[in-house]
Amino acid sequence: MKEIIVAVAGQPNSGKSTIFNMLTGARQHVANYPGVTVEKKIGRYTYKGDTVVLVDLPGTYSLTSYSQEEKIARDFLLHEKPAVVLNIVDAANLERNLYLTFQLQEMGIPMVVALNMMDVAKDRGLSINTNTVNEFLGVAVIPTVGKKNRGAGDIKDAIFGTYRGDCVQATACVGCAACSGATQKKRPFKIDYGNDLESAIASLEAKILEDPRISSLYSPRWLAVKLMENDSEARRLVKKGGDR
Amino acid sequence: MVTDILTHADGERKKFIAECKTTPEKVVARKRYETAEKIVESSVRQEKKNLRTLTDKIDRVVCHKIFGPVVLLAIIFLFYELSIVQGYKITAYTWPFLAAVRNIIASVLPSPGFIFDPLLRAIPLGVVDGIIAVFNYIPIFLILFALIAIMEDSGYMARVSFLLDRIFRYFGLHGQSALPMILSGVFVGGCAIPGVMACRIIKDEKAKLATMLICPLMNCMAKIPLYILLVGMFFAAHKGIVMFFISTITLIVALAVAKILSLTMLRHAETAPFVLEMPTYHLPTVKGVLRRCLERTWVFARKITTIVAVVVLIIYVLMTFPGIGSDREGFYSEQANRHTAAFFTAIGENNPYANLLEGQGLHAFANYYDDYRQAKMGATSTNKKAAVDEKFRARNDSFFKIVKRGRYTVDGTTFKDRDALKVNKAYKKLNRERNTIRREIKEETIIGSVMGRIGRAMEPVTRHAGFNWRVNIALIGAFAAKENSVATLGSLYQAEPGGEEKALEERMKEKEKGWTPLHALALILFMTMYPPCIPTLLMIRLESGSTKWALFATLYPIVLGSLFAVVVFTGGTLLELNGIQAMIVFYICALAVTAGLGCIKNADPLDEYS
Amino acid sequence: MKEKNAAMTLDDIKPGCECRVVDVTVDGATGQRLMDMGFIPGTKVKVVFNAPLVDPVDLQLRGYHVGIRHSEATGVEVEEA
Repeated sequence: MKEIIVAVAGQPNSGKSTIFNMLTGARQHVANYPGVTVEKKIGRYTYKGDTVVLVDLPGTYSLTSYSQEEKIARDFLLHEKPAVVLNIVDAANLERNLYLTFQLQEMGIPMVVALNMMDVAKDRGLSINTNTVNEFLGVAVIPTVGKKNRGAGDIKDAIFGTYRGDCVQATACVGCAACSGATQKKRPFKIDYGNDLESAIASLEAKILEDPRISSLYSPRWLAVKLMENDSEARRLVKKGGDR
Repeated sequence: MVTDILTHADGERKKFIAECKTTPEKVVARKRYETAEKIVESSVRQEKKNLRTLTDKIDRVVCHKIFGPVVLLAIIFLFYELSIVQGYKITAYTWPFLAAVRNIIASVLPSPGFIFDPLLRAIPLGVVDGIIAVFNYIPIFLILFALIAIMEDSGYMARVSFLLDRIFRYFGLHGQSALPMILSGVFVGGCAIPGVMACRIIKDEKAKLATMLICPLMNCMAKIPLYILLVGMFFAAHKGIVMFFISTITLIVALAVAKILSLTMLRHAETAPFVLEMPTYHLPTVKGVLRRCLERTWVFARKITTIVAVVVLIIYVLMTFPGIGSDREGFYSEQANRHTAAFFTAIGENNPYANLLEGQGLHAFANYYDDYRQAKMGATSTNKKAAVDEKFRARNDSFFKIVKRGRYTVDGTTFKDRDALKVNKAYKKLNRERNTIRREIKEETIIGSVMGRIGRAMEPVTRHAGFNWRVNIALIGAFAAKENSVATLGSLYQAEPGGEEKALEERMKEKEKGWTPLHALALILFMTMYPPCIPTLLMIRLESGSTKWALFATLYPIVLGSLFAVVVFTGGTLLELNGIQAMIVFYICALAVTAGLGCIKNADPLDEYS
Repeated sequence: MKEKNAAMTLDDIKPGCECRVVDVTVDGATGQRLMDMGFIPGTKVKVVFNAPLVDPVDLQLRGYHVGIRHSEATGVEVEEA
């Protein structure tokens, strides 16, 4: 019986809590992130004999080093090694929410996207083709309506499939509702930052790969992007040579 | 190796900025949004032009120049009506349960002595009383938390921050400070415990700390009993004005303190950009609201109980030890014996009940009598009353006859037992005398206790604020629970033995003939600034992560409150102002100071507008 | 205040009017936050209304609303839409 750790990340007002509650029911408790006064909600559910542990990260619009909550979310993703990241996305605000999604992807953790509040999007006259989103991102995209408990089963299937590597690598597809097989043909999604920046990133990536300790801990591309942005926390992590 | 990476990064970054005339961050953000736009364009279709018009319509009213604040005030008022007023009404129903629990515990502990209670009873009961006093607030908390959850889930909370941000920022606070302050008691009785908990939502460190530190200054519910007592005594003709003064002065002082803090001690704390999303309004779900509200109440109950128990215990011990000494105990025992002897004389040697009541029998009867009285009070219907009678008859038939004043029914026949009636009458007198002795013992105990000695020792100093040593003791004891201040005063201002039962107001007035409204005003002001109760301090420690701030939060109100009390009392006396005049002068000064502070620029480099 | 030829910022736009973002000129946390929320060159922004006491200001962009202070709005350079 395994324990699979899943980090739940999303922007504020994306309905993250509702999805979290939908998946874990009463099996949750509140703790504190070490050393700070930010609440950490932890819950669990069982799936085919294994226990899936969900850790609710603070809701943030981005993953910079400028606020304590962003630092906490980032720190958890980098150092606690969750197996999967469940990204809750507000379907009615897809554009802004994707901004966070891209950053999560850059960190290299296998991801499942829950396209939440589909009912609100529909009321606003928006219709979203989840398959198209899935094709672009290369990850499972599950439509959900957290308030009405819709999508729980599909999310659980997708999390498990992603955990096993089926959805990201092209080995064996479980054919879950996520994308009906489209994902297995995808390469990991990457944003093109333009020639100038990309060449700087590539050169920095190469330098990072020369240091096996650091490159084994952090996704080289993610780190390279962060260092180019002059991210203070990223610099600190490099300085400490991978120690927290 | 490591420095290689960093140096390389610095080099690449410099090169990039020089060549592309922009920073990598900007390019990164831009490219991300461009990609997002591409995805959205391909996958999202806008079928009708229905962009959040309902929300916009609502906002046109809610954020309007004039209607906005009106709606806000209306909602704040509603908040109070529901949580404080209705919540209090509900506590009337929940109190009996708490009282019942207390009585069960009381019955399990060793029974009370005739005039002295064993420690094993007194101490646990004292602690239990302290805990249920706090638990009594739970219905109010439940409603408060539910209302907050609704405000947050619906999206209205963001609008509150939006509306109030400007004013609050003049004082070093944040739009989001609104909720914590409202909870702690703006204008009416609130509670700083959920108030400080709510500070969690403030992202800006500086404003968060400032808000946490001023929440205890607001109108806490527990201060109200003392206000009512004093206003009733000295300002009966001006009740409305004085209550208005009390309710608003706290906000005025709180804002001033927040500003001073942000200019001095919090000067170097982190600030955060404002950028606040105003989400579409939507109906909160019952499930979501309930879950949040229960979660928070549970956290409160769990975290608070242990600490409160410990502190109540400590305060109780300090108010009891070292005790009145064996000499005095002897004195009271002898008094009790005299009264007991008189009792037996009154009922007569030949009274059939006399044997039963010898020695321990009297003691047992005393407990029986009290238990019966208490049970009868809790019985609200005729059926319940009958049940109580049955129970007590079964417990002790003879005692039952006595408490029923000799009139009882057996199988339809009514008996009139004159001997029992005689015992009942004599016992009533003895009971009064017994209670008087107990009260006197209590008063003497408090006066001679550690707490009492501190209170008396401080009198030369506190005199300048108009506080005598009894007031000092009540104030120190209030640290465990401010409501207790009235109860403590009650113990310290006993009725004259043999006199009629007068209200505390009258008893105090009689004893302290020299008191004027100025005395009351000084005391009221000290109470408004009273340091936070233990549960609140605990919350401050938890939310700020540092004991230093919790200590500061305890000390500075004492300094401030003492200052105000002394200034008002001594100043008012010197200037020969009466209570109301002193109040008005103080109010105007406070307003002026706060308004002046609001005009001082913040240390914020980005701020061109304050 | 500002020089005559200084660039137009979000702060200058009246309620009810639209504009387009040219650049975010403020650095640090504020600048990053503005960009995170979508103030990217080329973005259309509408000023919806000011709070009763002028500050903050409610803006509409990318299909949602965000409130920022005027001091932050001066950090966004804009042009007419």
